Parts: sequence; C-alpha cells; structure tokens
Amino acid sequence: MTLVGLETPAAEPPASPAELAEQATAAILADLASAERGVVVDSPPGAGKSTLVVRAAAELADTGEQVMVIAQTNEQVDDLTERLASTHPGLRIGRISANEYVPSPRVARYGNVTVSAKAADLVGCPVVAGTAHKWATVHDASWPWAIVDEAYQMRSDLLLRVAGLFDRALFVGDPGQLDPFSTVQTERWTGLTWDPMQSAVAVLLRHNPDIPVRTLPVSWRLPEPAVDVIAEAFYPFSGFRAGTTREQRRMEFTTSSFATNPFDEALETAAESGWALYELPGRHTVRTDAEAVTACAALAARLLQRGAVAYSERAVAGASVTADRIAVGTAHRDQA
Amino acid sequence: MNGTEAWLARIRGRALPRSHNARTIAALASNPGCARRAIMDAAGVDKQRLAAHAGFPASFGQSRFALTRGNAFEAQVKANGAAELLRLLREHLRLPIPEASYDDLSEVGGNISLELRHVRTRNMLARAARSPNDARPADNARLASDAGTMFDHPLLRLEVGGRYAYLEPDLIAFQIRGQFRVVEIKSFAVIDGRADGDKVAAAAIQSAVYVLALRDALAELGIPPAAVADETILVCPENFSSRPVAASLDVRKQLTVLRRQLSRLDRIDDLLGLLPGDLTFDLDPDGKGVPQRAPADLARAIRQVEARYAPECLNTCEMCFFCREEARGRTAALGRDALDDLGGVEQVATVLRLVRRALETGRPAPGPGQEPGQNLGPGSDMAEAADLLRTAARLRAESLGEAV
Amino acid sequence: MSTLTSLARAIAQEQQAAQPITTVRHVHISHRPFVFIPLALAGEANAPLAAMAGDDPGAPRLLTVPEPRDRDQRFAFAADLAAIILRYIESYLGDEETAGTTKETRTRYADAPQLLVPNPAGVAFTRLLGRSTRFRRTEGPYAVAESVPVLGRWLTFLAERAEHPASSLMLAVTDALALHWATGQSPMEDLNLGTLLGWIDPAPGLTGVQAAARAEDPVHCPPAGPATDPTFDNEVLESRFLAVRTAKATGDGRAMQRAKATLADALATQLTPTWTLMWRAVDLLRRLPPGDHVATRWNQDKDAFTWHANHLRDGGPPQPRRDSAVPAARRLAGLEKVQAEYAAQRAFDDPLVMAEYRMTGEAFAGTVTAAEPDRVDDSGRRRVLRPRITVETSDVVLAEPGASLTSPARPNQAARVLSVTAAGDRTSVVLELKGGMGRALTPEPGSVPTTGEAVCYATFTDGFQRLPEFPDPEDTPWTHGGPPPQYVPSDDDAQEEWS
Repeated sequence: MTLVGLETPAAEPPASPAELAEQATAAILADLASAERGVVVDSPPGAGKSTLVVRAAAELADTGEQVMVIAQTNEQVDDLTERLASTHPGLRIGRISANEYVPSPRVARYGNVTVSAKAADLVGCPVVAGTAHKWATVHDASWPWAIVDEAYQMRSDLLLRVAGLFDRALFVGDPGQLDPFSTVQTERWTGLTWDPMQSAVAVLLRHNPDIPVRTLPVSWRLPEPAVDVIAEAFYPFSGFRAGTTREQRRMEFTTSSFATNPFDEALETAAESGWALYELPGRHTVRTDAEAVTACAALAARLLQRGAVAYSERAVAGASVTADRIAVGTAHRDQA
Repeated sequence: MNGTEAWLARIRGRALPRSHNARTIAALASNPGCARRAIMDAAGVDKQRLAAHAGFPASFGQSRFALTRGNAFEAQVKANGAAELLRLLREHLRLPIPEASYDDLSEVGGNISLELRHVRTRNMLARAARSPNDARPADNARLASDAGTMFDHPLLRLEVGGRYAYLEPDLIAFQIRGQFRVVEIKSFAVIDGRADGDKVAAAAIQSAVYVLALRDALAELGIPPAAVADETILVCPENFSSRPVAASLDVRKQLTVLRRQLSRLDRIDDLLGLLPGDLTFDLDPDGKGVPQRAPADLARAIRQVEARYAPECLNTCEMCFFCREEARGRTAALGRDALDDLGGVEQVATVLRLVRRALETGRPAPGPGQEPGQNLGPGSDMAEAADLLRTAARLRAESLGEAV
Repeated sequence: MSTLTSLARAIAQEQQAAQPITTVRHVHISHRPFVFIPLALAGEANAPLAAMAGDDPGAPRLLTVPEPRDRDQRFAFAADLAAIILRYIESYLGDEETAGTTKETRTRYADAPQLLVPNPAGVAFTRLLGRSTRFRRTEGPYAVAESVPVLGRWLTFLAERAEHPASSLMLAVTDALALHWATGQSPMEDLNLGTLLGWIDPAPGLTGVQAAARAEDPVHCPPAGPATDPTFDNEVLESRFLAVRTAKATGDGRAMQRAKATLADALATQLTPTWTLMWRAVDLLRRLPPGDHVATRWNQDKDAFTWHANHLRDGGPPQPRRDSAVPAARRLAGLEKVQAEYAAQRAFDDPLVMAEYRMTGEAFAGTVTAAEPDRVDDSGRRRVLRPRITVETSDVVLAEPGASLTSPARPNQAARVLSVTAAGDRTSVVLELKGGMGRALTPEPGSVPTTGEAVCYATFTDGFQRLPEFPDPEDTPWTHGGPPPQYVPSDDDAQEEWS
C-alpha cells in the first residue's frame, strides 16, 4: 500500500536489521580507533562475532598496528585463521601453536598462513593467532593490540597470564554462556575484583569501568519467534533482535499430518512458531534416557518423511530439509 | 472475606495468623512444588507450633545474644534519623546527598488494618516517586534538588499464589532523584571485604523480594518499575567491630529467579480444591490455650497436604522433621543428587530390589510392581535404571570383595 | 555425589548402618593429633566463648571467656590457647629428616602437627581467629601477649592448609569421616558430627538411625560448635553471664569465683560430649589401613610445615589480609593441580574409588587375554621394546585409539590404545606398552602383565602436573588493576577493634 499526499519529514524510516548490525559494527570499529584501553563487545549467538573479529583484525593491521588474536581452543583459532586467510589473501597471518599441533588442512592450504611454535618466527606477520594457553607461554614480546575471542569462556586467571603481552584489546564474547568452571570449590576470593574464578570480562570491567561495552544487536542464526524466548532466558539484561522475519524463515511440509501421530503435532507447532517442546511423560530417568533418544530420532525421521521445505533469506524459493540439515543438541556430552 | 480467605482461616483454626516475610517468601520460592508449605504459609499457620505438637519440633530457635546484637546494630545504623546510614551512602556509594528526611511508617496511630497501612505506605511512596521532593516540604530549593527521602518499615504486599501476602520488612526504602533503593541491614560481618556467601545470597534474595513488592506497589499507581533500582544496598558490621559498612548488591538475577518461581507457584485456589473441605490445623485449645488435639490426628491432617521434601528444607522450613520422617525410605531424602544418581528410582527399597534381582539373574530385573507411578511396560525406564544400578552394584561388590 | 556413593547411601538406609565407600584410609591420622573444639558467642563475627583443646584424650583443657564481649578477655583467651597450641606445635620443631632427590636434598621436620576440628564451620572459626590475632602488636597501645600474633599466624597457616584437598595438617572430622563412609542420611546432615558418628558407630544396642536421631537432640548431644544450642544460650548461659556481671559490679571476689566456676561447668557440659566423639572418630579412622599415597601427601605437609616454621623463625611478614591478583591466581592453579593429583592418587590407591571412574568409562578393569611381552618395534631409528597386550572387560570403555592410559599396578608404564572392539557386553582393548620395563630389549620379570592377570587402566595418571606460569605481582597487568601496593602491616591492623 502506498500513501499519497502525506508528508512526514520528521520520522525517518526504521533501520533494517542489516543496517542496525552495520551501524553497531561501525561504531565498534570507531571505538577501537579512539580506545584508551579497549572495547568489550557482547554478542548473542549468530550476531556476527567472527565477522567482527576478522574485520577488526584486518582494519587494525591496515593501520600498521600488529595484532595478536587470542581464542580459547585450537578449533576456534583455526576457524578465525581460515576466515582471515580466505577473506584477506594479501594479509600475512601467523598461527602460533604448541609443538605437537598438526596444522589442520583448512589452515595449511592458505599460502599466507605461517604456522610455528615460536613467536620469533612470526614477527613479520601483522596478525598472529593462537590459543590463550599457547600465548601464556610466550615471553619477551608485546603487541599494541589484542583481540580476545570467546572472552566470556576465558577465566580471569588465564587473562592474567596473557594480558602482559598487549597494550589494548578488543574483547568479544557471548555473555549468555555459562561462567567458566573450576574443579576447586572455595569462597576464598568471592567479592574480590580479581577473583580468578570469574570470567575474563567480569574482572576486566571491574578494574576498568570506563571501557565501553557494546552489543551486536541482531542475531542472524535465531529465527524471530525464538529470539524472545532465548533473549529472556539467557540475555535478560541486554536482549537482541532477529535479523530475519517470520515470513523470511519458515518451514512447510509437502505431506499432510496424521492426527494420530504425536510427533506431527510437535513438528506443526515448530513449523508455525519456530520452536516446539515435545514433552515426554514426566518421570525420573537416567541421564542417558533411551526414551528421549528414541523420541529425538523419531522426530528427525518424521521431519524427513514429511518432506519438509525450509524457506530462508538464503533460500527464498525454499530448500528441502535433508538429513544433513538437522542438528540434534544435548545438555551433556554423554547424551550425544 | 471471600471464599478462599474463609477456607484458609478454617484451615488455620483459632490460632493468630502469622504473616509472610521476605524469608518465608524466599523459602517458598526455593521449593515452589511444595503444596504443604504453600498452604500453611497462605493460611498463616504457625508451622513451628504445629510441627512441635505433631511430635516433630524443629530447632529454629534463635539465641537471645544474636537477637540483641542484631537489634543493637540496626538501632545504631538508624539512630538520629539514620544519620549513620546517610554517612555510609555518601562515603561508600558516593551518593551526593546533602540531606535526607526519615519517615518511620510503622508509627501509625490506633489499630489500623494491614490493608489501610499498606495504602498509606503506597501513597507516601507514590508522592515521593512522582515529585521527588513533595514528600517533605521543601523549604530550601537548593537542597531539595538532591535531597533524599527514607521510609522505614513500609508495609508492602506481594502476590503469592494468587493472593496478597503482606510484608512488614525491616527495611528502608531510600529515595533520591525519583528512584528508590532498598536498604537492608544485616548483622553478619563483612571481613576484609568478604562475607559468608550463604548469608549474602539469602540477603540478596530477600532484597529482591522487597524490590518486587515495592515495584508492585508503585505499579498500581502507574509508576514504572525503573523507579526502583536493581541495585540494593546491604549494610553490615565491618571486620570484627560493630562499625557499619555498606555494599551494593545487584539483584537482577535474583529478581529473574524469583519472578519465575512465583509464577510457578500453583494458585492457592487450585491447591485448596484438592483438599477435603473439613481440613483444619486447629490445635483445639482449651480455656487456657493448651492444645487438646491428639497429635496423631493432627499428623493425619498434615499428611492430607502433599509435601515435597528435600534435605535443604532442614535449613528453611519448620515442618522439616515431620516431612523428613514421612520421606524416610525415599531416595530424594538421601541428598540433592541421590534420586538422579540412582536412575530416578524413587524408593530405596526398589533400588535394592532391582540391584539384587539383577545380580541374581545377571539380567536386569523384570518390570517391578511395587514402585508407585512407574511405567511398568516393556522397555520402560526401569530397565535402564536397573542396568545402571546393576553396574554400580557389580563394581561395588567387586571392589569390596563381597556380596551386596 | 555419584551413583556408587548414592547406592551406598541407599544400602545404609536399608541396613540402618553406614557403609564403607573406600577400602583404605585417604587421610593421614597423626599418632598424637591436637583436638580443638571452639564455641562462639551467637551473633558475633568471631567472639570466642569457650574451647576444649588438647592432644591427650584423657586430659582435655577447658578455656572459657566469662565476658565474651570484653576485648581484653578475648585476648586473654587467645593467649591461653596459644600456650597450649604453640607448645604442641613446637614439639615438632626438633627431629629432622632429609628429603628430596639424590641430586638435590633438603632438610625438613621429621613429623608435623595435626589440628582436628569437628566440622567445616570449625575451620572457618579457626581462620577468623587467626585473622583477628595475627596482626596484633606486642607493644604500644593495645599490646597483646607475645604468643598471640604467633598463634594467629599458625592458625592462619593451618586453616589455609585445610583448603588443600590433599593436606591433612588440619582436618574437619566430619569431612574425614564422610570421605570414608556413606550414611543413610543426606550429605547436609552429615555435617553434624553426632548424627554422622551415630550412623557409623552407634552405641551398643542402637541402630544407626536410632543413634542418629538421639544425637539430634541437643540435650543428649550438644552441637559440635562453633554455634551453640540457642536453648542453652537462652536458658543457661544468659543467667550465668548475669551472675558474672553482678559479681563484678559488686566487687565480690568469692561470688565472682563461684560465678566463673558455674559458667565453666555449664560450658563443659556442652563441650565434653563432642570431645568424646572426636576421639572416637580418630579411633575409627585410625583402624582403616592407609592408602599408598597417604605417606607421600603427608611428606608434602611436612614440607609445608617446615617452610612456614622457617618463615616465622626468619622474621617473615604475616599472611596478608587477602590474596592480590597474582597470588590468588597462583593459589587457584595450585589447588586445581593438587585436586587433580589427589583424585587420581585416591583412585590408584583404592579399587572402590577407581570403580567411580569405571562407572563413567574413564577407567576399565578386566583380564589379559593375550600378551606379546617381547615385542620389539624396529620401525624407527632405534629398536625399542613395545609389548602388546589384549585386555577383555565388561566395563564401559570410552578411551579411543591413540589415547594414553596408566595402570595403578604399573604407574610408570604408559599404555597406548591401539584398538577397541566391542562384542556383546564385552570389550577387547589392545594396548601397546612403553616404559617401566628396564633398559634391555626384554622386559624385567613382572613388568608386563601376563595372560590371565587382572588389570585396570585409567585415562589419568597419578603423576605430578606442572604449575602454569604467572607474572610477578609487580607485573600485574592493567586488566587486573595493575601492580598492587606492597602490603605493610599497619597500626590500624594492630589496633583493629575486636568487639
């Protein structure tokens, strides 16, 4: 519908999710340029955290600043290295690793990546990436900038071991994640600003309250109907919105449902609202509950049988849901 | 008095009603599935007295030394219009308060109902919230811009299980620049900046109860929740002295938990619907107030309302020994994780029967008939639990070199 | 808890008697421990009310504080306690022994003191008593007896050791008992020394349940402190305090003596039952055979004791009020390392503890069905002895090919998993062994498991772990607040109120 003859010069059209996300990223990169000590970026799932890390690393490198990238696991470091190497083929990237690390093919295939256990071998690289544990063994070196990825997974005592290596830093992480873990139970440091059992971000902010905290406001992973549920449960204090709309992300079935099939009801609900809860009869069970496993498998099988078609911003015309596009999550490793 | 109130009054009997406080609400919220506690608290039953008469007195007594110390500390902080508190707020929290008025809302002349007192509290709070300095005549405009207002003993109420519970907290609602902060005074020590974690956690959840109740009171007048700060202020003695020290507590998490738990509480009406109409916990006092009701009869009445016992109840509920005795033989009584560890089997006897049968035959026991509420069909979860228990029993026997 | 412990609790509930959850003792029990039972005045942060203390079960010393809010009386209590505890500790500052490797030896005290308190709250009280006394000055305003700050530093040291999972220098007896027995009550109720012992060692003629129920009655079994029974406070203690205050006000010396004596009598009734329980617990623990690593860990305790004794002798400063950033992180790393080592050592010492790991698939036990003890690997530059064995087990095996396993029977030998094959409810694991077989190309006798031998392999080892590196405190980075100010004990510390 078009309205003719109405002039509303005062109200600007609301920004699209993509514009919002871009504005936020631009603001963060601008913050970096003027940051005295650094910036913290809170990122809900699928809000473009890795994209931000890669862009920030490349932009800092562009200005001639050397950047160390600190991630928590080798898997995460390889991910970032791969993305940096593929999007910035002209950028030399160092991958610092333990002696026994075998470079994964997805990193080794890039000519602009140098892998070494010694920081000295990588001095020529404007960007050097490694795990926090590896960085903790590096001495007598320093970087003007660090980018700390998954900073909410990092424990404060690990940050203490690496923080001497850099002057300023961009901390990026998902505040909805569980706090770091210790095998030791003690209240000895409760309430201290440098409590070693807290997350790196918590300790950093308590000592540097002036560091700006930004949020990536748009999740591209979660569909719109799921955002409210997730945001309320895990991000009660910041919140975020979905990058796509109900209309863009939806699912349809090519066969009709059986009234008698209990799984169909759950699938229909999920297709309509973005998520569904399939409730088993209430009873106490062992953690690896065969009944729950069977139900998960049956739901997945039924989803395939029903010939589901998923529509998204990447597949506007719809793509049929095949087995490789179904993920099953569990709360504990042994349940998988 | 509506039907629910009359029903609850009948359940309570002739005893004077006990009112909720932040501690009872926090305890209720920590075990929202316990209908027994929900009903007794809603009816204002004196649980301590009830448990004792039924033969299970709980040891929730308080030492007079602790009471004396607590009262003395509170009086010290509140003395002279809470001058000491004001100093703390300025120094520790860097609040720029040149002066503040102090109103004790407990001082209401005559015998006024809780409801009327609540209305008075609400009006005072509303006036302060709407135009920060109208609560007191502002004779000095310069001071007024930053002046604070303290309300001691506001009478609040909170909806619990579908009906209002009145709270008469020992708290100060401190208002400055249109925002209230809850101030709680506790007499446990903060030593070198740290205090007992359990006590701080308990204080935080109680403060959260007050924040909720304050917000409710203001919401009825159309004042948004932001008028009450998420940060509360805890005042405790410092180190080994009786000098007070203040700290900020961020209770956002507690508020989230509390709101969720309160929403999970079954509605009192629904719970009452499950109970026999003639249920009463009246102790049948004689002319001198001495209970005449037979303890066994009272115990029968208590058992009409289902409880959900967990060992944590021993810290929070006066009925705990009664419920513990009732729960003897249940795996949940053996510890927080015992039920899960034992494959969800609810009765100790069933656990051991499954173990023995499995060990005798080398196979999981067939579907047992004795476990109430369990699925007995083939492929039921009991087979898995039996498997788990058989492995545990085999390993235990093997390691001890003996039969189970 | 775990399924095995919960199962033991279920059995205990049914049998009405506690059940063992270990086959050996995992704590050191001194031949002459020092039992310390403090009582505190309700409502105060750390006001000593009384204590029963000593290393002779037949000769407890009773200390009382007639006016617990009086600062001078608190310090008098601290001085009295110091006289007993320091004499006990100093009795270990004589005999020395040589320790260390052949390359690097050191001297340490041949034995160390052991402080036993009833429960974790007793440890917390001790820590606070240490905190409130260690900064005191022995001259100037508010001077205290010379022994008071020394007591404070020893109590602080011991309470800090109590945080170490592997240390036995200071034990909460409820923890030590609960480590070895499962009762038919919950872990929370196990914090009550009386009920816990009721389950483990009921009085003749009583079941565990009956004994525990009896112990819950404060008249039969007063609380093991530091908190007192509120009824005792209100009905007994208050009037005895009043008598002391009255005698003081009237200046009646004989009345004061009488008042103090009746107060002491009352406090003794609250402490003596716990004193008896403590020594019964010591006896019970002593009767268990010690695990192999108990002596290893006690040696570490002796090292720590020696270090602290030398630190005191050399005029080192008292422990700071709190850890700054680097010491806190370093301490946490140390605790985590010790925790992991201690857990592994207990499993290696005790098949019933190892069974916990067999439940979860972190270890398996079975029988050797095939062995190639003389197998030599000549694929590399050097011919090396690499025997292979096949183990069949009915346990869950989560280890995957390539994983390195260790057996409690041969802790110096690494076993690499070559294959895992499941058939029915049994699993075959082929292992390649390395190390611990001597230098020749044939293994020393007994160094390789033989066919038919019962073996156990775990995914963890009892070996020492390395401590991570941390910056020096003066290099504390900006993320953690920068370098902390050097701690200098101040007059404020020394004159702090204690009321």
